[in-house]
Amino acid sequence: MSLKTRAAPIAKAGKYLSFNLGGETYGLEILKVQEINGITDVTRVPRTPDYVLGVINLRGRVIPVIDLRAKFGMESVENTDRTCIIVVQMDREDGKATVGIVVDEVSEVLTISEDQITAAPEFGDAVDADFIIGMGKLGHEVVILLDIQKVLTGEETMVLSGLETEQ
Amino acid sequence: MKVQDVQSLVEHVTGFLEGVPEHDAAAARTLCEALEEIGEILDGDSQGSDRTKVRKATVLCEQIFGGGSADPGADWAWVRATCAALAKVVVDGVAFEDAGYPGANEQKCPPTPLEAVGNPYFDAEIFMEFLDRQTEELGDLEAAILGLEGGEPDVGYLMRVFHTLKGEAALLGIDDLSKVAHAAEDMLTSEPTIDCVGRLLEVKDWLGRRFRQLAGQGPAPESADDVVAGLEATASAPNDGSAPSSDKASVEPESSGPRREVMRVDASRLDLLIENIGELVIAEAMVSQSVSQRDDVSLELAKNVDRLDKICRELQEIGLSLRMIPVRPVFRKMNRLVHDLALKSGREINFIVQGEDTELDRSVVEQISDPLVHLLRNAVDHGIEKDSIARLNTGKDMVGTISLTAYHRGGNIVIEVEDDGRGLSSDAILAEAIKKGLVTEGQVLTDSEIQHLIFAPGFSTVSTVTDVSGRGVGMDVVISSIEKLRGSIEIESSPGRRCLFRIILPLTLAIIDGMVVKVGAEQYIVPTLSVVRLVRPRQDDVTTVRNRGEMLRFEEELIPLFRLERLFDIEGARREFDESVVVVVESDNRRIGLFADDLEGQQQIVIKSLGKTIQGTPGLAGGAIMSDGNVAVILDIAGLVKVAHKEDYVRADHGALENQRGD
Repeated sequence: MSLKTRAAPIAKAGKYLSFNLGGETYGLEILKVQEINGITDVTRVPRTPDYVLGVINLRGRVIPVIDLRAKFGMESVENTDRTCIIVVQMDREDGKATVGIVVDEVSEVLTISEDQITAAPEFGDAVDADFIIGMGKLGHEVVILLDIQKVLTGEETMVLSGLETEQ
Repeated sequence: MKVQDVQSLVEHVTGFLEGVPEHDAAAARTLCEALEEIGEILDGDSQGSDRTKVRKATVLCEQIFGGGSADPGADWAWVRATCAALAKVVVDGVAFEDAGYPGANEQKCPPTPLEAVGNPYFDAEIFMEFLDRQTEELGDLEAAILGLEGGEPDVGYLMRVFHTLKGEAALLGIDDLSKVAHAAEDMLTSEPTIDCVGRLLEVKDWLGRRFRQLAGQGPAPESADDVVAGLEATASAPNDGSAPSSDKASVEPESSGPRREVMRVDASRLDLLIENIGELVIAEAMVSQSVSQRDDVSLELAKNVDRLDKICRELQEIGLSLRMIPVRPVFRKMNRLVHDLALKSGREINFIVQGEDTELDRSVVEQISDPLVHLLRNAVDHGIEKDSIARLNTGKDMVGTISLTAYHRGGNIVIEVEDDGRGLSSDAILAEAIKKGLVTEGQVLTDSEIQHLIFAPGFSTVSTVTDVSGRGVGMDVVISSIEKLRGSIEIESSPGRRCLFRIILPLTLAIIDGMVVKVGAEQYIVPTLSVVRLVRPRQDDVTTVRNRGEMLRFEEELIPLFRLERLFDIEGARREFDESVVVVVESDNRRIGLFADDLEGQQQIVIKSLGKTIQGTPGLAGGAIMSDGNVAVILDIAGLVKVAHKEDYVRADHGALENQRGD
């Protein structure tokens, strides 16, 4: 009907942690990042969505780990010694949640100024771009800026509650 | 102009006070007039807080002058300090909060008791400490009072408690407390009669209410005079001779040993500490493992690692004990409860408490009280026969006995409530269950199954509802609180003789005993508490039900069999029966079999949440960190059993199965 207007909050200028996923460069707000660890053994948790890789032991706390490749519909690859788990903090209604996300490779911390950020383009129905809050243009490189909160909550909670009703 | 007026007036007052170090009536009068003037000017001013202080100082001066002050010295000091602060505000321009008004800390909690205002010895900190300590003492006090009735009267202890209370309350100027304590002491000095137990309990309750009021947490209790009058009446009542013999010699004060120092710590910090100790232990285990796998380890390194190992183990033990407290406070409460219930229902009951020092997790202690209240109420009201002649006729002692016992068994704590009353009548329970539609007529149930029916909501075989019990709400509360604590309950009963409820609880909520089972390459943990038995199934023990599911014949019963491999989509699991193992688990008195590859052993497991995003996945209770640092998933047996029975191939096909077997 009407044109989808993407009035999603545009990314703010500031520091972003950039990482590599399937040849593309993504950026995460640095304030949400708690730490970066090398990939370790992940325990599979049954009856969870595919992109939930499982859980790991983070110094005595059990945290879920999300496979960002699966989440973005990319094909899975073998882990390398560059595969990392980025531990992020998310705000939830019931407090903070700590989640790990698996990425191919962590690159660097980028400082992105306001004039380097443009709104996320329309991809049509092919790409669910709800969690893209902007594109950062640094020279000839393009960084896709993610709202990690949107990546990890919304749909996921839906799937989980779906599981429960299935029972 | 006004400001200048106040400044000069205040300066005048300050100078005046310097010349008058001690209070006297004339000086007070002069000061009073000056303060009144200051007050009048300040009236128009916006700084109301200063005004209040000045007004109070004026009133105090008036009282000193007129001789109406209870303690002119202290009041004078207060006025002096107020004037000094006022000078700071008015002359130096200091903010009201920083001026150091003497009453500025008056609002500190708890509110100062009215009686203590103007008492020079009053100190908010001492008062606070006094309240804390006395409130804590009340528990011991109650036990000692009830002890007068039982076999071990410790009059000396009671005298000491009241004596200390009297002295300290008098020092703090809380006169009614010291009056009551004095009267209680008097009564104890005269021969204590049986009456005095009830009287002392009243005193104890009154003290509790008064302490709460003083702490600003409750309304004022009735006047102390009533309590004192009651005590005096009991003290002068003629002794009927049935009193417990009080040993006068024990009244002498004895040293109670050094007081154990207790520190209050934020529980979340404690948890964090315990969590980190757990991690340290795992990290240490990894280090010592890699050391032991190397050939070129120097003797020194081996020795140091060994030492580290010992320290870690000790740390772990300390960590676990941090959250442990004895069940004593709860048991004390029960003591009182039984005492009151027995009085109310007109029964004579000998209440025996054992194992008060048994320790368990604080959160468990807090939650165990509810089920115990219900069990004890039932024991008093339904268990023990009201008619003591009837008891004699059945060869029992006239006085009923109820015992409350706690002890450790394995990794669990056991709490038993036993009475030597009527016991459970299986017939009555069964009849009621049929009436309620819980059981169909002709259904064959074991004794244990029948007894467990009493835990159904609204179940009661008692025809009369008393104000103590009989409404049928109690027992389902018992079972639900115990299940929440991951515990279980057993009933032993012989009709007409006795009834025993045995509550089995884990030591803490955070740690469980778990069986580690292997399926494919994955590990899962089954809480040992829910495990009934491990069996190696034979092919002919297993029946397929209309291709929908498998049933296992276990103890002449058909139970649903779950293959974890299918349930959880695990790859590479075994299929053959003779190599596998079935863990028969039970929840809510229903059983299912879990089909796994192998049993890897049993260990203590610290339960962790799976994280907010995936916690709550059906069938999974949480995660546990294993000795290698990896995470294993803990199965939620209650959830799995519910799923099994919801998919209802059990009840629906039960009849069909029975027929098949008959063929």
